[in-house]
Parts: sequence; structure tokens; C-alpha cells
Amino acid sequence: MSQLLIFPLLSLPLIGAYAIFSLGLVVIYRASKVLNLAHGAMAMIPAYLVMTMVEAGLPMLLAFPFGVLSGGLLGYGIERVFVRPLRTVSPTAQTVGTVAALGLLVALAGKIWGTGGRAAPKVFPEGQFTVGSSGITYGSLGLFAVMLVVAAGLYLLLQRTGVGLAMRGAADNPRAASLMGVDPQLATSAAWVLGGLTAAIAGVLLASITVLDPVVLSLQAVPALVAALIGGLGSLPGALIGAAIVGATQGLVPAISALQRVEGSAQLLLAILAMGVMASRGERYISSDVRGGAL
Amino acid sequence: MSADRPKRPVGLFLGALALLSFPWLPFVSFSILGSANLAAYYALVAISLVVLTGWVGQISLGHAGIVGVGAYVTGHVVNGWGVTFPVNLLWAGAAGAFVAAVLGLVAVRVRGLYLAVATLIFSWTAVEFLFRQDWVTHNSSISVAAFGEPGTFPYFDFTSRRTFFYAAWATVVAAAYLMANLRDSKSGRAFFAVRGSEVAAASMGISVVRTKLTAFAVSGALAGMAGNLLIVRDQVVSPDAFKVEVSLFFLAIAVVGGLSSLGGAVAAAILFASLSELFFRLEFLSGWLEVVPPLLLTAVLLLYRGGLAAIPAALRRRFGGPYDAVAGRLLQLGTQVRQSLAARLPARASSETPAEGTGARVGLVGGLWERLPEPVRQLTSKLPGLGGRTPVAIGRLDLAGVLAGMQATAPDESHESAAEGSTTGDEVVAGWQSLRLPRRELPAAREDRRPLIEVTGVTVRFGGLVAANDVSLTVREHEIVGLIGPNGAGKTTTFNSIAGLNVPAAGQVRIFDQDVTQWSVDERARLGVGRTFQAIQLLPQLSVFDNLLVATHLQNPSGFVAHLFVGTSTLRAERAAREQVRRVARLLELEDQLDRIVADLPFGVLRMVELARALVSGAPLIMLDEPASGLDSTETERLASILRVVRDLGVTLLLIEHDVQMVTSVSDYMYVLDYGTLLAEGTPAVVQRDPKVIAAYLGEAPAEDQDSLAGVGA
Repeated sequence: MSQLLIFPLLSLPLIGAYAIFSLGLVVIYRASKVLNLAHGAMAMIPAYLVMTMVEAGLPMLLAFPFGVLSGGLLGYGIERVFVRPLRTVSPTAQTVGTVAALGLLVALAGKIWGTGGRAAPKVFPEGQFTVGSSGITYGSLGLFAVMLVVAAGLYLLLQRTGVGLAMRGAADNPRAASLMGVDPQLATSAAWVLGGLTAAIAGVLLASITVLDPVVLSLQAVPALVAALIGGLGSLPGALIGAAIVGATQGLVPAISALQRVEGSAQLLLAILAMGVMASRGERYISSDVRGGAL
Repeated sequence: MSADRPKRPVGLFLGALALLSFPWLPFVSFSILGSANLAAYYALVAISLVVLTGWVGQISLGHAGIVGVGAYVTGHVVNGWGVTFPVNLLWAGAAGAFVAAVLGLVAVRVRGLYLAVATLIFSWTAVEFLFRQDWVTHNSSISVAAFGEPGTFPYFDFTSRRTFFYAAWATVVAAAYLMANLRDSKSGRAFFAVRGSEVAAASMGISVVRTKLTAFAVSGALAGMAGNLLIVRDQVVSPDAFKVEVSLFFLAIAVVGGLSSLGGAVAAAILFASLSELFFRLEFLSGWLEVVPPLLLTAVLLLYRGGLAAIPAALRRRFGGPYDAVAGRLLQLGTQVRQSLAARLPARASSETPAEGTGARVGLVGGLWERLPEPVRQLTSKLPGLGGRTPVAIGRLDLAGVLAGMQATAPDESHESAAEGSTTGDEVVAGWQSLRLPRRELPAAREDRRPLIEVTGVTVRFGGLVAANDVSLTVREHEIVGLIGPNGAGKTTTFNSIAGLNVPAAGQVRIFDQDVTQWSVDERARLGVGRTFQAIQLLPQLSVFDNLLVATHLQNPSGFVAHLFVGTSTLRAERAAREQVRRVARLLELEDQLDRIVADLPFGVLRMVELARALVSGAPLIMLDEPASGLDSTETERLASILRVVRDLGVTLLLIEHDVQMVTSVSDYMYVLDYGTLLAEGTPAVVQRDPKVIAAYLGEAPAEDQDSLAGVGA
């Protein structure tokens, strides 16, 4: 019984982190048609900054907001430097631009803070919430709770105000959007800032319950990408469902004894699922866009 | 090309000397030799990405996974079956091709960003699952998978860095040579066409799916071989070598190289390997190596998108003559090596210099290939390449023959004046018209002529909207049929049903007596249907000549293997293709434009190029999608007279058009659509006087005196 219970509990922080990441990915995708492969880096850098600030003596209560703000700044900067100049080329080129950003941020973090894993400061108090014989740390529970807050906040902001519509319009038809009084550039930047802020929240919380490593944390965005993809890449509820599937798979599959011995079986399952989703959603007709270059 | 001749032996000699002597140079230490071998590994991966991403536009963020498969398969065939180095390259290549082709099966369903994600997920799964399985990593610990000695071969010890240097770089040179052959062949043109516009490629009979799968398999084979080089070089292999970051690093190499240039890819590989050697040696730089690839990638993406491949041209622009004299000789090495190999065989492509990058060349191997018995060579056309299958139901128009016949009987004065370029377009067209070939005997009555397109009761729905409702029309041989209607009348929808871009909810489309309702665009093209596009679908960065050459796809019977080795069948087909292009260009007076880059040309010329492309394909039936839109009245008149000439050459034309005056002046028969239904049909004179048509164009309640539509929409 306790064995069965412990794995869903282990899934909770994963679901929390993936959900926040994939929501951010969807927000950015909807506003700029770019797949932000640097999303994990926007989580990793703030996590390191928070660690540095706390080590310098700043209380977590102050360091956390600064860290989150740095994520927003990072989001703005990545869009401005790596994505916007490539807009005239193609969405794929912009995505390659985020690859460059990812590489640079990971390399810089490795240079500044070292490439080895480090323990990050806790955001939530130590200790755990006990259910029967198994328990879940306050950090993991906190991450899941924060995810719910972030999701609700994004939902209210994007679905209930005009902001979300403006962002989508900016991506779908910038000229029409600007005729309607929406500054498409501002809307795109806002989406990236939003993505950066939320990624930073997830990054700081995830680092505090796992380990802080430039590459590992940056690549946590890959499962989130799978989640966003399962959810349809353009839908916020879809991203949540996708994150639940991905997080639960990664948490639960090791509990199934037949799969326990096969390393990476969860990833294999998710990859098959993602490929299946893509194959079934694939377009029947060939595209009719003309592209100049390779990207 | 002739200017290159004197340089050729020099370049070949210098290149061979550099490569052969490198391991013996005094400054080349053990460590530098190791980096040179690393560069060969990088170069092969970069070439693999150039083929897939640069030429076919299929981005891959998962190449490290394919490389890893190649490496582990090498380890297994060494350990299990004792297959040692040069031979196990083939195994690694086959494994890489297989894995990539499977990935390609997903890729043909998705594109762009989805493809990027699919390949990224593949890379992630390879690291998290595949390379953690004991049966893959050979029961060793997770971090190091040790295999036996992969590098032993009778008389050669490939564990020696010097020996391996020659083997590895021979592999790279061979790969670059074969890929350059492929690029300049029909296969390569299909690659570029798919990258540029899938719908245009399909409309020329190129199967987008086959082309993509071929590219994935070729790229995968090269990546698998690169994995082989890696494991033979290091003797061990660790899953860490194939992590997701490595895939991104590979992409960085290819982008820095310029992404579509073989030379650039090799140069970038050498650059990255040199940098790693440099950073390793210089104390103050150590630890900064990880920053370099993303920094270079960023710099290239943001500041110099052409990458390393663009540097020679930039230098030539800057320094002109001195550059050509010194650096150009070295940088053109690759081309020269290939050309000098080409010179070894007597059969050559036509002496006229084609636009850069398209010349067909003969290789030594190609010559040997052609000496194989015919049945063996026949097999190549059945390989999953791009050649071979051309199920043409109706005889493809031998336009080259027709035009050659016309040329032979051309009056001298018209010929000369055309050559001087002093005549106006109309005069030349008139000249051609005067040469009209004796018409084939056609039944006098339209009803008795053979129907080429029969649309019966076609209904197309988009959600709740009925865009075409029970539309029926017939296009008969040797006529120009105009399909007109106000905006939103369903012209384009009907047109697309015929072209294969939508499947009607009801009704049937028959072309050349075949029910093609469910056929794909490229299958219809293979049947003999050509088309132009309202929004120009040419390859903007290629010359007009190269654009037209793509359309010779279906007339080119050469197969994939012949393309790799430039067999004589390839050469013969290339010669014929070039001749076909020149003849059509002459007909449409595009000769002066042939070497111009499409992106630099005015709109009116591009319309002509699209028409030329349809003609080059030899399709006996051509569909024109608003050919006059964007043309001024002089250009429109010229287009109309050219269309008549084309019809008289034996091509049947169906056009949809907004310019009513143009359609009525050129059409033999017309159909009028409104609100998705057929309003009227008949000869232009009949249709113009039809009150329903006038009402549709000018509003309800037709006035008595408006008995003609002439002038509307002009």
C-alpha cells in the first residue's frame, strides 16, 4: 500500500515543474511561434542567482523575488537578442537561435558556478508531510501548490483579459494586430517575460528539492516540451494535462515491477506517445509555403 | 570552366600533398594528430547535417543519437563477428541509415518546429533509454562501454593515429565527393525543390515523402559512419558522447559552416577541432572551450548567416584579383579534385557551362559502374532513390523535339534578329507563330475531341462552407479553357481539386481517362499535369536555369546510385535536361535571364519562369493559376500570345483568371463559377453575352445594353 502511494507522491513535484515549464513554453509558442529550447536555461540561471544571493547572506524571502525577476529579464533578453533578429528568416531559425542561447547560458553557468552538481538553498522549510508510512517533503508539495497558483494566474491573465488574445494576434498576424492597437513587439516581449518569470519560479523550486547542475536543470525542459507537445503546443489546459501525463509516467513507471529493471522505460514510453501524437496530428497535405534558405 | 583548367593539376597536387603530408609535418604532434582525427569525425557529422538540414530543410536536433547507434553497432560487429575497421564502416552506415529512416517516417508527417521536437525527443530517448541498456552498451558500466579492438585489419593498424588519419580523411573526402555528385544531380534538385516549396516540388512530380526519406537515410548513413570513426578513434565509447547537448553542438558545427555547403561543413569541423586543440594547450583558455560553440553559433546566426562558406565569396569581393590568384586556387580544391576526376572519362556533359553547382561530372567510379552488365544497373533505378518510376499514362510531350524541328525550319532573319536581341517580344512570338507546326488532325467539333480533364459533380466543403457545389467541367485536348468567376466563386477550390490539393466530398476528377480523385499531387504530375502558381513558387536563391532544371525531374530516368557515382546515364540525362531548358528558355525569351538569381528578378519575369518550368516538365496539360495577376497590360498581351503559341505546340491549357478580358481573348472555351456553382459555359462569345454572367460580375438586374463583358476587370 505504502509502496503504491509513494510513487504518486514522487510524481507531484515533477508534475509541478513540468506543468510550469510547459505552460511557459505554450505562452511563448503562441505569441511568437518559437519553440523555446532555452526554457530550461531560463530556469537554471535564476536558480544559481538565488543560490548565490542566499550564500551572500540575503534571506530567501528577498532572494526568491529577485531570482524570479532575473528570469523575466532573461526571457526578454533572449527574445531580443537571439530570436527577434531571426524573425525575418523563419520560425526554425528562431528556434536554432534559442539553441544558441541555451548553449551560451549553460556554458557561462558552468564557467561561473562550476559544472558539478550543487545543493541549492531550500525555499520551503525542511521536513515532510507524512501519509501513512510514506512521506512527501514540504518542498515537493510546495512546488506542486505553486504550480496550481501559476496555472490559475496564467489562466486568468490570458483567458480573462485581453492580454492573451493580443499575444496570439501578434503571432498570427502582426500587421492586423497592430491595426487593432496591439503593439505586436510588446505583446511578444510580454510573453517571453511571462515565460521567463514562470520558468524561474519552477527552476528555483525544482533546484531546491533536487540538485543544481547547469546541464541537468536546463534539459528538464525537454520532458516539458514533450508535455506541451502532447497537449497540442498551443493550449494551456493541454499543457497541464500533458505535464500530468509526463510527470506521472516518470514517477509511476518505476513502480511497475516489470519495467523497473529497464532503465529509461518511462522516457521510451513518453517518446512513443509523443511520436504517436505527432504522427496522428500530422498534416495530410503538403505545405505550400516558400522558403528561401535551409532554416 | 575553361579558366579553371590550368589550375586543376596545381590544386589537386596541393590538396593531396597537404592531406598526405600532414601527419608527417614537424609540428604535428600526437595530440594534434588526435585533433585532426576528431576533425574528420566532426566533418562527417557536419556533412550529414548539410544534406538533411541544409539541402532538404529538415532540421535535426537528434543527430547524436544516430551517431551513437553507428558507434555501438560498430562495437557489436567488432566484438561479435570480428568485423574490423574499414569494413565495419558499412555496418555503421547501414544502421545509421535505418534509424534515420525510421525517424524520417515521423518526419514526413510533421514539419518545421514539430520535426525539431521529434528529433530532440529521439536524442533524449537515445540517451535516457537506448544507451543505458546493457544489450546496447555491452554489459559495461553506464559511463564507459568498452569494446574489443575495433581498429585492426590485416597489414594496417588503425589504432595508430597516423594510419587512422588517412582512413578517416579518406572517408570524409569520399563522402564529400559522393554528396557533391548527389547535390548536382536530379536527386539534389529534388532536395532543394522540397526545401523551397513542397507543393511546387510535388507539382513537378517529385514525391515529397520519398525525397525526405532518402535524405534521412543518406544523412543517417553518414552519421552512423561518423559514429564508427569515433569509436575506432577512441577505442572505447561512452554514452556521454551522445547526449542531447552533443546534438545541439553538431548543429552548431553545421550552421557555422554555412549549413548548405560541403566545404563549409568540413572547414567548420576543422575549426572546431582546432579550437579544442588550442584551448587544450593554452593555459589561460582552458575551461572556456564550452563557451566557444554557442558563441560561434550565435555570431553566425546573428551577424554572418552565410557562415564559413560565405567567406571565400566575401574575400573575392573585397580583394578581387590577388585573392583569385592565391586563395581561390586553394579554396576551389574540392571542386577541382572532382573535375579532374571527371576529365578522365571521355563522355562529358555539354560544353556549355551550366549555372554554378549544377554541372554533372563523370567520376572514375561512375565509369566503372557503367561498365557493369545492364541488368545490374537496372537494379539501381529500383532502389529507393528518386529515379526510376515514372508511370506516365499519356505520352509526355517531346517539347525539345518539337522545338528543335521548329528551329530547323526557322527563317534566317527571325533567327538572327532574335540573336541580336533587337526584336521586341511580339515580333519573336510572331516569328514562332509563323513556324506553326502542321497541326495534328483533330476532330472539328469540340465534343469529338478527347477529354483530358473531366470533372463531374465535384463538391468541396470546408467545415460548413460549400466552396464548390456540384461542379462539372471538361477540358479537351488542344484547347485553352478559361475558368472565371468573381472573388469567392470557387475557382481556386475547383482548380485545387484538379491539381490534387483537396479531396472533394463528392464527385470525381478524371485526368487522361484515369480516376485521380484520390491521387496525390505528385502522382498527377507523373500522369502529365503541370501547373503554375498564383503566388510564385520558385526557389528564390537559385538561378532561373537551376529552377527550370528541377522540372526535368520526370524526364530523367537516372537512378540514385547513378547520381552518387555520376554514371553515364546521369550524364546523358543531364545533357538532355539542359538542352530542354535552353529550348524552352529560347521560346519564352528567357535566355538572358537564365543565370540571374530568381530573388533579383521582377514579377513579370517570374511569371514567365513559372510557365517555362511547366513547359520544361513536358506535361501535355498545364494548369495556370491566375497567370496574369500582377502583370501590366503589355505583359498580359504578351502572355496571351505566348499561351496561344504553347497551345499550338500541342499543350492543353486550363487557366483560372481574374482578368476577364485576357481570358476571353485567349480561351477556346470558358466556364463561369459563382457561389461555388457553375453559372455558364461556352465559347467566350457565348459566355460574354450570358445575362447571368453579366449579373454576377456587375451586380443584379442586368441592364439591357450591357451585352458584353469585354473590358470588365481589364
